[in-house]
Amino acid sequence: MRISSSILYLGLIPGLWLITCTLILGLPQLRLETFLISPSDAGRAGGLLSIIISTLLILTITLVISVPLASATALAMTYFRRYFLKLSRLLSLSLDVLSAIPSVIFGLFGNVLFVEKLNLGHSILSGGLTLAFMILPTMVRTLESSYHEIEKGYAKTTEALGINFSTFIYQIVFPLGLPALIFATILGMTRAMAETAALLFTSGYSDRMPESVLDSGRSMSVHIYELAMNVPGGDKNAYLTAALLVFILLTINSAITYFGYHLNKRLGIL
Amino acid sequence: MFRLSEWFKLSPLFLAAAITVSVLTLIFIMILSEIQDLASLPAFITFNGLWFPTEGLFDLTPMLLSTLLIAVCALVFSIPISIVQAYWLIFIAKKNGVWSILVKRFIEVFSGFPSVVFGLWGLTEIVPLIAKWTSPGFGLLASAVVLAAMISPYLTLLFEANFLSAPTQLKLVSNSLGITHQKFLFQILIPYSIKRLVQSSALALGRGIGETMAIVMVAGNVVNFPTDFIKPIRTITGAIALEMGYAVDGHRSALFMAGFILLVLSLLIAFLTQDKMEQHDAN
Amino acid sequence: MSTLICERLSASTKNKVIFHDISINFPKNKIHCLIGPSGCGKSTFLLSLNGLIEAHTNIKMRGRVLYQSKDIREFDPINLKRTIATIFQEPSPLPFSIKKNFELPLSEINQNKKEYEEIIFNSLQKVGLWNEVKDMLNQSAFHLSGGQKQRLCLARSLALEPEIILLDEPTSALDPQSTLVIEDLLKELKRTKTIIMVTHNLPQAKRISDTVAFFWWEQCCGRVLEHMNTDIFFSAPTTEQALDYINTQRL
Repeated sequence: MRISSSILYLGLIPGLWLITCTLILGLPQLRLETFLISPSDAGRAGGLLSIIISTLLILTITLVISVPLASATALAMTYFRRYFLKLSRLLSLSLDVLSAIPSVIFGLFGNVLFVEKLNLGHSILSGGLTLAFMILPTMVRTLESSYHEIEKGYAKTTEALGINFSTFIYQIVFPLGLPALIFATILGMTRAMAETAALLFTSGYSDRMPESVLDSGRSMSVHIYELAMNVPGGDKNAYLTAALLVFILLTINSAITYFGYHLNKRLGIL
Repeated sequence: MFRLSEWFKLSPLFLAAAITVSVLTLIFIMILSEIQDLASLPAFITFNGLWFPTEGLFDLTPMLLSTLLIAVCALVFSIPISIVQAYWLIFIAKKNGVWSILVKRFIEVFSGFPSVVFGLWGLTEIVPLIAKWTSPGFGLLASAVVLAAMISPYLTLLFEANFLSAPTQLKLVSNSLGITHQKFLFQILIPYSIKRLVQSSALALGRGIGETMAIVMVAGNVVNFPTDFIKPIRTITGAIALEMGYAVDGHRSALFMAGFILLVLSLLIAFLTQDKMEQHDAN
Repeated sequence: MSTLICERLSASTKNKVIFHDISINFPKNKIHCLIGPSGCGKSTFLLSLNGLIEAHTNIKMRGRVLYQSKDIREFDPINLKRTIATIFQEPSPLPFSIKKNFELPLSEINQNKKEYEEIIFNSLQKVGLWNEVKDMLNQSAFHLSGGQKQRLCLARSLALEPEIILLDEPTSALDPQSTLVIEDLLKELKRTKTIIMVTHNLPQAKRISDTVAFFWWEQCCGRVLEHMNTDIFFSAPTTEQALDYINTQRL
């Protein structure tokens, strides 16, 4: 028993170590101007304003594309699951396969399709679109399971009332699935924020303030990578960015748990 | 089955589903379209260890072996930890106790943590630690440790689900017979759910093979056969991440070939773990 | 005059026959009760009368159900469910406001939103729920009591002006008081609608029904042993099984 409990604690050490060293090394660098000015001297000095703006822009594009696409796909899957089971199996297989593809491959895909073929260049738009396709399978999976539960619960009742399937989908399943949609959106958002590899060759490295979504922009995670790998003496600001990123993700995560609990309670008694 | 108006109203959903399905095909098309000569695949597996893409020498074997070895080593490190954690969470920790909820939340948070932060931590903490023992510190050992720290929370969650799917009577009967935790874990639970555990491990292996950022920051990135724990090595994902920025023509094509091999490798693993999903569907 | 006729109706899954070879006529403007022990296919039979069962399970039907001398398969499936309404055992309001519960099914047949209020008023009036809920039409239907919910479901179906109402043990989840209210309601509705109802409650069947169909599990599947006038059934059943069943229930 002693061996297994020491293995248990050993397993927790890396996580604890990582989070303490990130916060301890990162947070002391935090100043007000971190949020007010853009990085200078390749990121060794200055703040993070342009980085934060780029990150927000990339996230916005990602969610604007992926949320409607994911919820429509999940609703379609609910339909297929009822009337064309074979087709829904095929869809779910392709989602499983898609979610197993490494993010760096999505980066290559985005580089060819958006940067080169669609001629969007290394831009925030390319990065956002790439991430949208990357988080799609996760979001569809999350949504589809809760849509299916709702469908099972109300299918008989609505059919007995002579309600068409389209009305059922749009006016009953979708509104009742809103909590799940929020949950899936937040989940996708955390995955998109944590992603680096897919952005390296799609949204580029530029740390200047983006003027439009067609400008190159550097996300927080790419900033950490650049400072740590390519800028001697950039460690301190890398840790600052990491601490901020970790802080945001922890906040979102706690919010998920909190809202997840309350929204689940609301589900069904809307 | 339906009237035409129904099909019309539902058509946006079908369109979205079609787009989602086509992403997989699109990925293949896009990556293959950048490879100049697919038939040159044998030139990538020559075992001479030379990777000078600008001069037409692209032997992928050292990077392929490094990728696989790092993932396997990380798996070897993390499997015992994850099994113990998963077992603890289900059978030993008090249900809904503060301690068990805290550990569970902690593991959940870390399973989705940014890999670049793991890389930063490895670069500034693990590598110097190994370097104190033997310089330079970058290499297989550092990569495997960082990757293990990264995938073990993920693996714990998978194992937990595997253990939970075992029938509860198993535990009840063992308890009534006075079987110890150790015996129950190694002689009853693991043999019972071995198939699922292997599938979960394969999923984690796939994730390890595809991992880019954490490893590129601690592997040292010199093209070498992974003959030593502390020799700097480079993985396929690392090569793509580092060289895509400036690669042109043949070099770019070689990187896409590397990406294609990586894609096929991870799809292979996804298909091998597939029957688990179908079981799940049938339930 | 019969509105609904079953001709040699059978239902089976891949490896099990649920009921076999049932032929019954359901005359108009009467309450018909389906009784018998659990698991002999009463509910399946009931839901097969408007084709609801085939859409939601892997049960396959054979034989015909004739509505107005036409096979129900020839009707538009969605429309058919409006003419032959279904009320389930568990009260099944949709998780929206009371008003929305009416508006959703109504919007499929009537685009004129101004008429809704009157339809809602009339249907709620019919089930005697108007005075209880008139101030809370915009509140969730989940706040109602079990009996109120079931009456709401009845009113919701009535808003679609059905000809036949199928009820699957509508009162088994309710307290005796609400049960009586629903029973009175059904007697009232009998004047304009045909009612077919599954019940396990023999006194209830005796109280309200005009005819009784007695289901029994025999030779590995559900069958109808008797279908006759309620008074005759309870005073002088022709089969031994029916007599046994009535007697055990009396104890």
